[in-house]
Amino acid sequence: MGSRRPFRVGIGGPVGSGKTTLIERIVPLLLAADRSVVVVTNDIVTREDEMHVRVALDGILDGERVVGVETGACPHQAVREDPSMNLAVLAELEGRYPETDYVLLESGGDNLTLTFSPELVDESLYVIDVAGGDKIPRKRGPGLILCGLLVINKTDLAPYVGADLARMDRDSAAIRGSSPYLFTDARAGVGLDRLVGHLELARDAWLTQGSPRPGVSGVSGVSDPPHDHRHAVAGR
Amino acid sequence: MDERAVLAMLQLADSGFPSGAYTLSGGLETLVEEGIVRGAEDVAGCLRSMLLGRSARGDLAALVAAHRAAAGDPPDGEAIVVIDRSLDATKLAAEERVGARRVGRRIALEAERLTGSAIVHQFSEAIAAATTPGTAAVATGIAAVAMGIPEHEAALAAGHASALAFLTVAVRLGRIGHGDQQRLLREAGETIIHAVDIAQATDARTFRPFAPGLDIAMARHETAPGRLFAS
Repeated sequence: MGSRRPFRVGIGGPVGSGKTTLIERIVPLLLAADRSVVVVTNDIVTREDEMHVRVALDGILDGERVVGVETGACPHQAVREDPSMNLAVLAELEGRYPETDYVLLESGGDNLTLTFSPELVDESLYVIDVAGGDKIPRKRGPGLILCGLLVINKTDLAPYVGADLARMDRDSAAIRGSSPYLFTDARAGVGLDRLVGHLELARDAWLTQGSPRPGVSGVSGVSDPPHDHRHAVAGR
Repeated sequence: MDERAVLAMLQLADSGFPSGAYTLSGGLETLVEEGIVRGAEDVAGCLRSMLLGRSARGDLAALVAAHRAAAGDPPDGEAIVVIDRSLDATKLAAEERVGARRVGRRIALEAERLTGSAIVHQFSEAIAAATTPGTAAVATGIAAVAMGIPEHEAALAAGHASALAFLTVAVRLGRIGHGDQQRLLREAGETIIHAVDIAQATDARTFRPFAPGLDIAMARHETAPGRLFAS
């Protein structure tokens, strides 16, 4: 494991779905598991995300371990067709912190078509939120279908926006097939242990395989059984 | 130029070539943000400054010099490092320097992967060892040799690519539409040819790009509150 580069996790999803909060909440969990972490944010207009993560993790994660990348108004291109600037920043960060276990790479706010280049990340999360409309899973889109783990966030808001979680559960199961999805309330920390568990399993599989998995599809063999997802809904 | 070289030139100069250059505005974002560049003619003026002021005696001249050094028999790795360092030293704004290095590193890695060329490999290794900065222009010159693209065509293609990238930034910032983008690109043809002529006549030891308006804009960009681009 010593000479290997870190496990790179892409985190995509629409603006406001909770990608940044998710990162701010799972970094302490990864650090508690004795994992070394760096964070790359792909901001669209400002360095807001980079600064937000730095402030939120002040005293927990060295601010130098959080770096923002400008995407030239092209958030999809920056993580898919031409991830050059992200790869350049990763090379710099991985050179500076060679002991790093995890890179969390947040995409700029995007739409449902976003996938990550398999040459950029080893695993990807796609984060949607219930307040964005409970019909989102039904809309399919490569982002939702091809990610390693679909995260349906802000379950606490469901009663206030009329979102039917059972419907989201059914629709997600239909589009995801054998690939996992998970309901979370990132602000309250609900579901995050399971999310970190997924990342650890995915990383173990990656370390065992000896090379990044081809493609951007889900992590076969670490999928959670569907009844567990219903459990996550019921237990929210 | 043989057919394979034409195809290689199109590949290297294409905006789809993964170099990351589309994230750089070269100062244009600041000029737009500050209301200095408003319409198509302002954009055209900036493009002329970029091509004749900055590139002709800077990036394009370094590309030509690197091409000559890489195409020699044997290739002159030491000369390439000198050219690379000299060009890097002319980049006053930090964002231009960092941007050019990041793009250069990526071009070198992609060209190495595509061609397996020894001189590109040597350049990539030198970048990784921090013995050379790895500017985009020098990486492009060496990549062109590895891909079989002659010097003049490589410089023309790079001039075209940088003009198109600049105009695309203007489109993304809402200053021009797609029609003006193509019109200005076509009108810039003579300027690109002129810039390449200057670059091919420039002594490799005397790079002296001069585009102070763009340099100041890039320096101001560092502290700009809104930033879509990395320069």
